[in-house]
Amino acid sequence: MRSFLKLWFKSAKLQIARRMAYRGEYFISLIAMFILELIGPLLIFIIYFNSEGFPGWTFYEVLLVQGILLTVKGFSFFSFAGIIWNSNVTLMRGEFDIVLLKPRNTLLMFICESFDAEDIAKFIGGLLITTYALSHINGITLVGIGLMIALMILGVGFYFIIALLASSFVFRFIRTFRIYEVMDIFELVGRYPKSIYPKAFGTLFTTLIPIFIIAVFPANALLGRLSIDMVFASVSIILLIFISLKIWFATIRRYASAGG
Amino acid sequence: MKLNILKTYWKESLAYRAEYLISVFVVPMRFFILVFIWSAVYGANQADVIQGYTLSNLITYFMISTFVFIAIFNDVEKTLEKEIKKGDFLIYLLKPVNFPVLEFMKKIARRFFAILIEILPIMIIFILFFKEYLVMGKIGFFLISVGIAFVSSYVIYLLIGMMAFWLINIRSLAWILDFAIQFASGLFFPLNLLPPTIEKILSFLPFKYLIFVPVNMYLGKYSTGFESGFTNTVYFQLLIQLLWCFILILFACFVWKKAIRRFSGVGA
Repeated sequence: MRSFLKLWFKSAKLQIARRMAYRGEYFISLIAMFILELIGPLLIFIIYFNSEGFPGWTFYEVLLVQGILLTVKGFSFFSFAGIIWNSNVTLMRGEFDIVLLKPRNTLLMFICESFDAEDIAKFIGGLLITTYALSHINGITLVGIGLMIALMILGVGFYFIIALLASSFVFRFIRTFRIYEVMDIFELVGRYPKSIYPKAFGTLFTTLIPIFIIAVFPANALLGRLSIDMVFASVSIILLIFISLKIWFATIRRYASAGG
Repeated sequence: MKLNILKTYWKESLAYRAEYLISVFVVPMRFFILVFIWSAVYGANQADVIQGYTLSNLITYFMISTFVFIAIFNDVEKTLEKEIKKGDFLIYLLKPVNFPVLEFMKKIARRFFAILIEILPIMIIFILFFKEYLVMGKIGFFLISVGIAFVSSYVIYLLIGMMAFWLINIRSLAWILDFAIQFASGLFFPLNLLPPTIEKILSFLPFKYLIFVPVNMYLGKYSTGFESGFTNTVYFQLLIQLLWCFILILFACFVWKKAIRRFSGVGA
């Protein structure tokens, strides 16, 4: 694991150095990445500007959910979720064989090569929004912060599951760049309090597809609104990680390059 | 010849139909979530109307704005940037049809295909699942307005693409502008929900005529009679929309001439 982390950091450094060669364009793309993510907070602003908003949630509490989501998403996207894009590109160019030839675990190698230097902006933007929202919320405890961070780590686990499954899908159907739109749907669900959904959907998004773990549950934990749902979602995440890993490696085993 | 161009690009679209079909899953799902969100907002506030929109009006707004977006969507700026960056733009200068006309034909073919494979299946899903939210609107003026919006949208994105003649790499800038245009056109939410100052500023720009105005025509927010003054009529909105379209075309022609003079491909 240590050698993987070393390799990942080297790869990250290389990718950033490559982008810094055209630093003007890189900085604009960082700004663009952040601006594109503002739609969530913007919609929340519109809702609270025109109404009382969601029952039981203040504007800053829902803004906190947006900040946490962007932080978790940003971290996932720059560190490993690039495998989705890379699956599309390497398969189209027939370059995936090179990854298979490398003397390391294929998935870890693929993750190292998929570092995305632009998505750092999402992570930083998420931290900024979270900090801003927190500065308007009272009664925060250290235990709450600890629980929030623990659930955010599991939220990263959710993105890991999605990245593996989406990558497997791309391996099967080739050239499906619009798979990101399906991911956006999951994200859209995770942006709003569980209470707005019908009970059946709430249960579905807590257990089988535990989307609420990416932002709603961490925010709830910080605000001291603990529930048994968080335990169900955490267990589900751990199980789904194992299942998605199995699926990904099974897909890779069936991969036949242009040469067969 | 232009008909043959249309046929060729129609066939090309057929080859990548799976990409289009993703919309059939994504768009209705997005709607389910939007219905939950706004039902919660209207329910919690015990409000029948927010800024002139009932819940049904608002859901219909989101539905029709998505259809308009699919119908007028284009990415000509990406194509133009790619051709300029690779130096392949030179080939277009040798062709008997110029780039803007050729790409416009391509867009018409692709959008007709998108209407067939994206909008029609989504409409069936909406009729099945969201019937109670659907408001039947005024189709005639709406379709004319969407037609003008299609041309305006093409010209706006062509203008963005033309920046590549000067800046070469415009990918990130185009992302930001695309987001700003979608926001200012009312794709994300009706512009009346914005704070009045921002709404006022946006009303002086051409972008609201891409989505907000056509959708409000569908919803019957503009009158067909002159009782409440000419400026509140559907005719006035269409006139301003046409005027903006004309101004944009003139501006694009002017910039295109300058851009062509500036372009120098390898060996040119």
